[in-house]
Order: sequence, then structure tokens, then C-alpha cells
Amino acid sequence: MVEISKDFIKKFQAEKNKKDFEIIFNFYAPKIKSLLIRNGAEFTLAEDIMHDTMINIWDKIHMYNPQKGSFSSWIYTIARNNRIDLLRKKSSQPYTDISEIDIPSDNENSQEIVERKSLTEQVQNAINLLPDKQKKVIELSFKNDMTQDEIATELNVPIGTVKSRMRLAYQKMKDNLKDITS
Amino acid sequence: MKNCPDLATIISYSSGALSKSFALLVSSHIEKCDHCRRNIDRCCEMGGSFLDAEENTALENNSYALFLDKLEESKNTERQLSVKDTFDKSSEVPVSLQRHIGRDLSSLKWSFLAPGIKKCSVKIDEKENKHLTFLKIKSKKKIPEHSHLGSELTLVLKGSFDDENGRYMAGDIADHDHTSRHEPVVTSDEDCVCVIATDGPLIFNSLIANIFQSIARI
Repeated sequence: MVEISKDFIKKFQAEKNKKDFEIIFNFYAPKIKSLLIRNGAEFTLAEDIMHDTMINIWDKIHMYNPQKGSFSSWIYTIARNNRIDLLRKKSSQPYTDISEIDIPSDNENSQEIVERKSLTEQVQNAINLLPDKQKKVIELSFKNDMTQDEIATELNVPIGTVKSRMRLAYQKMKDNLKDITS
Repeated sequence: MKNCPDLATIISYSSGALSKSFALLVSSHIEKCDHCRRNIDRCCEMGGSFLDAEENTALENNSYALFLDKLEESKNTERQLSVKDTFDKSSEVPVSLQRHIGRDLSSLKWSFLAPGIKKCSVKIDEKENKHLTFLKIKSKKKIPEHSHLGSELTLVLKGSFDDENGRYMAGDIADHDHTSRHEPVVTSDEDCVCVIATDGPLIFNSLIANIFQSIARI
């Protein structure tokens, strides 16, 4: 499989050809579909929502800015928004796409820009370093789309404990990644 | 911003696990809060990392060809107006809320709630019967002391109020759960307009306040 490197994404943003997009599709589509099925979509609906997500990625690819985050986190936010809009069949979108409304943000110092593949790996490593209880609440939130209440019920702990584990997990993640994120 | 949502709220927002009313208020807050946006970016890196590590589910045999057909079809249909074209970033109403209430707070249909307090309830989800409660409170007016059965997010749109935790200005969010008890009082010279999302009823600590609640239904 061809690696989805920063250069590859840059080339695709410039040329936007269907042959290159097939590589992006082959890497992310099966993962997005898997996430949708875990969150309750049946096979055919998951395939449909995945297609809609990939169309959004194609349409918005010019908005991806590697200085703001990894390509995977950008894909994740698009997939998340599509999942909320389509899987939950909501009548309107609670998530405004900040990149679409183009609100200026602090400029990132060029020294803070890191290799995104490295960032994704380091985030994975940081998650793996979390204590099991903290890792579990993060996984249930991100992978299983569970609310804090649902996590509390699943783990049979008070909601305050769920919140506290989330905060601790985030703080540890942030500490572990402080050399590469500001 | 001085007052931001709890980190746990930010994490749930990032993972897409907040209810619609709560997510709308967080979306509104982050439009002007770089601090929270950076936190959300970090959380979304976690999401991206989970996505990378996700197992692969088999696609339909002709999935990519089907995708290309849908892509062509989508190019031929009229696209929705972009957010950039239809929303006003200079409005006192955050872009995220403009979809539901328009650009101008004065266009809300206020009704009397109690002396010095007006209320407007806006349904944001027909199916789930979810709504946001807007309150317009006169200067120096106090909301009776209350605690919460569930969580409550309050976003200030105009003016300011104080409670036991400090002062909340336009754009700030007060993030309360069942452990908090507070008695907000408007401190700005102008009316304070705020919007509230709750997932459980408030618990007022006096008879008069309970009457207030039965009318307010918040």
C-alpha cells in the first residue's frame, strides 16, 4: 500500500485526481465503516454513510491544513460530523465546521509543526501509556460513541468518576505530548 | 475566555458524544475561544489515532466505483449554500446558533417568566424534542439558588452575571453538574442574555423558586 504521507496529501490537494483518492479511500473507508458499525449502523447504512463521508473529504480536501493537525484527526472530525448528522438522523447540525466559517486562530509557530505521522504514532503511544481505567473511558467515548452517563452505567461508577478519569487522561496525554504540541 | 467548559465536556464534545443542545453551546463557545479549540484539536488527535488503529471492515466489491458514481451525482445536484455565505460572524449570536435563531437576539419571541426575567424556548430537534432555553434578565436581578439533577451548560450571549465561581461575560460558559449549587446575579448594566442546555431539571431551594421552576420548565 502506498503510504499516505504529507507529500502525498499535498500532491492530492494540488492535483485532486481520482487515482490518488483511491489510495486515501482504500486506507480510511474500511476503518470509517468499522467505526459506524460499532456505533450501531447496519452494514448497508454504514457503507452509505461512509460514501457520504468520503465525498465530504473529496470536497473539503483544500481545507485540510497540516499545520493544524494530522490528516487522520481531520478525517476523524469529518467522519464524526457525518456520523452525528446521518447515523443519528438529527435534523440539524450541532457541530459547526470551524474550518468552513474560517474564524482566524492563533498562528502556529513553524517550530511547532511536526511530522504528522509521527504525531499520530506518539498519540497512540500516549494512549497506550494511560492507566487502564483512564484508557477505558477514553476508548468508550471515542470508539463507542458513549455519553458520560452511558460510560458511568457501563462501568458501574458515578458520573463524577467518569469525568475525573477523563480529565486525568487528558492531562496525562497533554503532558506526554507537550514536546510536540503547544 | 475566562470561563470554559469542563475538560470532560470538551472530551465528550470531541468524540461526538455530547447531546445536541450541549454540543451547540460548546460549538458557540469555541468560535471565540482558542484555548478550548486547542484542547479539542488535541482530543481529535486521539480520535484520529483511534481511527488509524481501527480494524478494517470489508467494503462492497464495487465500493470505489459506486463512490465515484455518487461523487459525480453530487456534483450535478445543487450544493447547499456554504456556511461562509449565509452566516454573520460579527453578530452577537454565535454562528453555531444562527442556524436556529437567526442573527439577531431581538428577533427571539420573549415571554414573561418572572419580574425582570423573560424566557424564550427554541426547539432544536423535532424528533428528540430537544430545546434550548434563552433567558433575558434585567440588571441586578437574581436567579433563585438552585442545584441540578443532571448537567447544565449556560452560555452568556450578552451582558454578564456572577455566581459563587466568579464572573461570566459574553462567550463564557458555566458548566454545572449535580454537585453544583449556585445563585447567579446579573452584574452588567445592560440586560444579560444567556442560553441554557440541561439534561435534568434544576432543583430550587425555596418554595417561591419552585413555583418559578414550574413556570420556567427548566
